[in-house]
Amino acid sequence: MGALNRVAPLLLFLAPLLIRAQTRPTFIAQPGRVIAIALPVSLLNDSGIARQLGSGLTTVFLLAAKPRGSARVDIRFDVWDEVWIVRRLDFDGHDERQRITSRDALEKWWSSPLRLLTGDPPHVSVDVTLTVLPFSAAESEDARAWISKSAGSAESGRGSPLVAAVIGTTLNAKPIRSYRWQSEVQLK
Amino acid sequence: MSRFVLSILTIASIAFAAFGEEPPRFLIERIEVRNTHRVSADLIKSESLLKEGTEYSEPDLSAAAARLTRLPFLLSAEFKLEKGSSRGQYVLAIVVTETKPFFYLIDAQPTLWDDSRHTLDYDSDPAIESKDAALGFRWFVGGRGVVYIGTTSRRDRDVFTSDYTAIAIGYTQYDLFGTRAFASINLRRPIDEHAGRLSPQVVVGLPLTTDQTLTLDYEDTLVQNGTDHILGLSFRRKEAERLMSLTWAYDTTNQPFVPTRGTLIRVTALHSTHDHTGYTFIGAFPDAGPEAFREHLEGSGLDVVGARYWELSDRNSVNAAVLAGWANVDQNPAVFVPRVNYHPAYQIVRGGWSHDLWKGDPRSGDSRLEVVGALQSQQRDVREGGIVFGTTPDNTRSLLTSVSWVRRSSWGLLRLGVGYSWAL
Repeated sequence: MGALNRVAPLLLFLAPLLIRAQTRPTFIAQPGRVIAIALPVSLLNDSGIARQLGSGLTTVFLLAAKPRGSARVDIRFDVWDEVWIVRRLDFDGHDERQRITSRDALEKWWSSPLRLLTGDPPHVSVDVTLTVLPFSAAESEDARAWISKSAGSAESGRGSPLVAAVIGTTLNAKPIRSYRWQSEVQLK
Repeated sequence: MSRFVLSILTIASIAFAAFGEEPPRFLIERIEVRNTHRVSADLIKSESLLKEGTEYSEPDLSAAAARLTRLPFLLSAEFKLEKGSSRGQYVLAIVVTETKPFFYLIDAQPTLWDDSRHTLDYDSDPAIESKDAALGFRWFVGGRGVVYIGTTSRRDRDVFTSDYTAIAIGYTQYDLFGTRAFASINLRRPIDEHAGRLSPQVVVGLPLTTDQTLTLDYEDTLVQNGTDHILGLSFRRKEAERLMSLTWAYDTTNQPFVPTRGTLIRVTALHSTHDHTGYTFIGAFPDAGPEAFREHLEGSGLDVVGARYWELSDRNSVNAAVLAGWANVDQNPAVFVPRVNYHPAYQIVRGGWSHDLWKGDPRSGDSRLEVVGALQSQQRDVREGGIVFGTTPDNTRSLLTSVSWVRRSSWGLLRLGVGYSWAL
């Protein structure tokens, strides 16, 4: 008991650091100078995200990466079929859709690498922002229209975090959570 | 580079179809409102503009949720779909967080200015129509009604209308005759030593869609009604105003007072009739003592507000707004001259940034730091009787900056800050 009393404050102090460490993704160098990201399962257990995932409405995970990259994951739980209807889009437009029947399978699918960007060897400094949004098709169409319209003016700003931020923020939905991670990735 | 833009376009365009060619639609067989304590579930259902037995897309539900969170007596409204009685049908659970029955709206943000400045301050916050303070108590009655008592203040950006603070008692009926319209009847008594009788106000609002509302406002206000005794003479002091306005508003913002995302467009046409009697020492004959005067003022104007709020992250939000107004004012008669006619106008361009000071549960409200910069200009195109304005300039411009702390909770809104304004 005495030992527990001594350890408890230390655990309390370290808890935020441990939680923070768990929410860090893994960056993976893939062939073709591609950098993929594997998102931590702990994100799905965040209270705000878990509440949205359980709402029967869509949750959108929007990734914007520096120097140049983006990806997107959509998850909706179908309450009638009791399946997870998921979709993810890599940076190069590769589109994958699935119906996942269990939470375990969802977590496995979630943590599989998602192709995010390409970089120049040998080292790439990656800066990734993840914004979690409740989905809305019309609002996203608004985003697409905005981006199409401003594509010309965005030429000089490509690759800037502002452009990436605008993609997320033009979606007219309050972010449930946002995260930012930085890492050095070594490419072969 | 082009690959990057293409990838962004592709990522964004995924939204055309959520999980197939057609975005999913949900047949809502029943709506259940949960976590209500004082607010009637019927009132919340009615204000969502959703109908049981109807199919809705996620954007429809999202717009309804946003509409509910703009209600002054709700802090949050979360939507959740559950299984209905048969396959393909859903129960929509709306989980609300109510505000307290006691409410306040205190906007204490004095503006300092340099000596070269002449203009009055405008309230450049497009999200709050009346600045300063309001506090009171509300009770929900009869399922769709609200009775409230408290103090309120009337401040607008028009130079030809009266600004005052009043004690008010009122009643709002929602879902009027099953039409989704609402009507408010208020009785107000301005806080003034010469305050007159209770003054009526009637507001009728008609939601056109989940984010568009048409509002008609009629106010008949006796701001002052008394007698002044000076140098052995008695003068009737009376100031009365009748104001009628029609407002069309498009509002997709997420909160009624401190929005962080969405668009607000508001167009108001108003007409005001103002009668003022009293005394003046500025008469036709010097040293003649006080003289009675009577003024009648009629003003018609148009006010336009356009604001857009962007959330850069879950903690940072930026906004930009344009506010403008034009009017035609007739004052007949006026002191010195038999008639004054002028066309006042103002334009405000405003930008702001706000930062959520704590990353807490949105159901607990917000605590934000706000920084605002605004360029304000005012013109007075005098057509007749310009002498009454003396040496005050017809055109002024100023730059305003302010920093404030805003706390929005289930109790209300408190904004404490300070601004500084320079003449340009």
